[in-house]
Amino acid sequence: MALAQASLAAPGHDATLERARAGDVEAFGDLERQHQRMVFGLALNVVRDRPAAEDVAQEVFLQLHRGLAGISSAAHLLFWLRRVTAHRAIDAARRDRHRVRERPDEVPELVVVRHDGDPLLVRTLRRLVAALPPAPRTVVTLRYQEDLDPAEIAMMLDMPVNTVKSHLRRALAVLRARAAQALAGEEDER
Amino acid sequence: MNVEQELRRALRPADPGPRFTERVVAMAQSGAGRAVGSAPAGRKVLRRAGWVVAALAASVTLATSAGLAYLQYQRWAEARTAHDQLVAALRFVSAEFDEVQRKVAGRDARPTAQEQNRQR
Repeated sequence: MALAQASLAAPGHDATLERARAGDVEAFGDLERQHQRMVFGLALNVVRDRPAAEDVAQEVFLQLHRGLAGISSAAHLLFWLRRVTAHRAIDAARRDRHRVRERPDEVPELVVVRHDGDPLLVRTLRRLVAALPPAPRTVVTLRYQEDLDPAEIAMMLDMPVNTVKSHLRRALAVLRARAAQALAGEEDER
Repeated sequence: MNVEQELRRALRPADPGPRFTERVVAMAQSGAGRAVGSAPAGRKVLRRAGWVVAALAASVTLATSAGLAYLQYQRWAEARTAHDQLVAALRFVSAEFDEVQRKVAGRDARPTAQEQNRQR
């Protein structure tokens, strides 16, 4: 699904990859621009801290630059970026767990909220996802940011499929219950 | 409330901000692969420095403990030698006293010349 969904796996992207592999810096910049929102978004949704997410994204792209020779296609590149970002983000989230960071209420806005959903619910969900432990948070992010199915997530995170499914099931149950509570509280306040 | 649909909205990809690409490309071009002074590299250096300081502190503690233990052992060995010498000297003096006492006791037991004449 991830590979099929990747509009990035188009022939033009393979040509850019070829040029980047040949040492064309401009082509590497193009590749970076094509994937930076995905990589940075994934990192930010997992580490919950903008500078730390920038560090993760930067390290991922520098690692990519060092290992471009091992990337065989645009689809492979997308898989590689998701996998490396997810692992690095989990490591960063676990490493920095003890650090004083922003309260979940202060989780940065990821995007300009479009008015095609309930902004309050979106903000509440973002806060609740940020409160999940790093592994389930990454699973949820890969599922709903990248639209990957549990088998793909399992492959990406080196995790049994059943573990991924159980993380998703539990996380959704918690998110549903807490979002309902939070929204009910907000309405009571009004 | 469709939580899954709202999660897709909440967890959209995000923009790292302006100049991110320039920064990454410049770092990649510098050939370092890892930017000097970048936060993760800095943190790693600090972590490594922490280990070095801990290792040095452990080495100093170990060396000091070993030195103190050796000094203590030396003192104990000197005291032991002095004790052995004292015991040997006392034994020698004691043996000399025994010898003198034996001689004195033997002379007292022998009859004098007057007593010998009287007996004759």
